[in-house]
Amino acid sequence: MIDDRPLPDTKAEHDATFWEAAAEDRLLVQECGSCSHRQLYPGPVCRACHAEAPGWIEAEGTGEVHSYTVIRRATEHRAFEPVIPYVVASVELPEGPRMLTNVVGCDVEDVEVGMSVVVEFEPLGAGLAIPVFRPR
Amino acid sequence: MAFEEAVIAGIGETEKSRPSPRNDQPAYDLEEYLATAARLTLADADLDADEVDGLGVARPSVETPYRYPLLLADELGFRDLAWITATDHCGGQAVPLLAQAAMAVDAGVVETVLCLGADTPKVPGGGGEVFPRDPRGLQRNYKDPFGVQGTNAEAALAQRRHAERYGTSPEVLGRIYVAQRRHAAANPLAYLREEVDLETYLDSEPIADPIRLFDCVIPVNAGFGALVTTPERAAELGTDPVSIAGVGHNHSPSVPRDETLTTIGMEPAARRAFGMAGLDPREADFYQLYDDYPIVVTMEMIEIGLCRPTEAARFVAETDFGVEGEVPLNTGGGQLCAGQAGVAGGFLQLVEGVRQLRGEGGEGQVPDAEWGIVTGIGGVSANYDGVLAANSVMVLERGVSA
Ligand SMILES: [Zn+2]
Repeated sequence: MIDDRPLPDTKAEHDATFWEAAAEDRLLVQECGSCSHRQLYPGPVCRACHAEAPGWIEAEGTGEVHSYTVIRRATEHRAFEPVIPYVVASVELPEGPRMLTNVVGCDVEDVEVGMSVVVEFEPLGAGLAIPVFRPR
Repeated sequence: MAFEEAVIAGIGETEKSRPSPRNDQPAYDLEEYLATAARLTLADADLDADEVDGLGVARPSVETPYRYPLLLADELGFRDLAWITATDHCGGQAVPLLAQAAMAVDAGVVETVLCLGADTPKVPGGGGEVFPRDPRGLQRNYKDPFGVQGTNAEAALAQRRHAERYGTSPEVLGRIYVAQRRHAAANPLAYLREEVDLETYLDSEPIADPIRLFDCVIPVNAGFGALVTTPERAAELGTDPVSIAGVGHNHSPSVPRDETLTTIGMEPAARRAFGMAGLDPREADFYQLYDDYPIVVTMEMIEIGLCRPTEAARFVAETDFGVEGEVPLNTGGGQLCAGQAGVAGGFLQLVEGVRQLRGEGGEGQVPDAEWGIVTGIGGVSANYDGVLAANSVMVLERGVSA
């Protein structure tokens, strides 16, 4: 548990759906009703075809490490200092989108590009949970 | 020639500082930097402020009131301006601002535009009133909760992926930093004035693997200016004019999704700029490439057409980036070593390009520089589909276009 961890704004229009699902251990991505493009970092329009109001689908919960970094110094968010070193990764989901997340449950030195990972939800209290990944 | 009736006839650059409670470096405010930059630029052009009829303002990252360019015009004492314009393109905005000024002068709307950029990211005591730029919550909802430590972490993701694919190791990228530190050592306006070797670069503090301390741009407070006027007016002033042979820009590049970490999407901007100039990028006399990280400089080299991605590691490992080398790179030290003045940072590249073409590079002068390249990058898009990217490429040429 990290004290004073920056928390998402769960009331924000498009993001609320994502974070409500995360609190129930479900990972959602947006899917466009017109062109089927999937996107994370949800928004009011499809970034592929500009159609309005993309819907949501539940992701399978697996992924592959597309890239990662081991954070050695908290240059912006000091709240994370106690957990240094930790891994920030870009994980590619089989549904298409990539997401910024953490890889947990293994030594930071063991993370690799291409590694298969599976989602888990780390409870943050106050009805919030954050989707992170561990090696499969 | 794109802008036949517009030339750059003056430049200004202040000293850099990083004030904090631990040092006694001067702490000027934003308006002081802008006023100093204006004064230096007008003095360089040997022009009276009353003869300026246009103002261009690069929006800073520190919080400013709305209508800021208008308030600034008032603050600087202008009484009759025919045109005020502004850019809000983040770090790379010097090039688009100069392009706007050149368009206005070339069109005959104004005769003389003073373009200014300054930023003060370093506040004594820290904190800094950085303007909140996260209206849709991308940062708050999808980066901050995961401890993404700003641009350093995002550049690290890009560098890791690039290295895995193309072999751009720290040993290779360090050559860019070492060359730029050498250039900064010869530049009296650079913040870092001591050379370092590759070993020192490699031993610098790990920040976000594979990004180390010397990969990260060094934030400073500073101000810059550039004056755009007609060739006739420039001839009257007697300064050496510099022409804009081409300019290209692009936003939110729709690069293939697989490549969003290993490209910055500058290729369309470069194609536009070199098409307009009718010049081959490989033949430029210097390369002032926006440099927040050596990996970004490497991606620019690929995207402006100096090498293919698969050749990049060898290209960077074998090319001489010195002022007398094959690819004179960031000849004043670049932002990595001279300092990044927040989102006015890209002015450093522009001002250095003009200086080179006037033969005023001093110890860092590229022999017989006839034309060169200046780039700008604004915004970050390490993962989320090119959101906010603004890429610019400008081709500068010595003298008035034929
Ligand atoms: Zn669509």
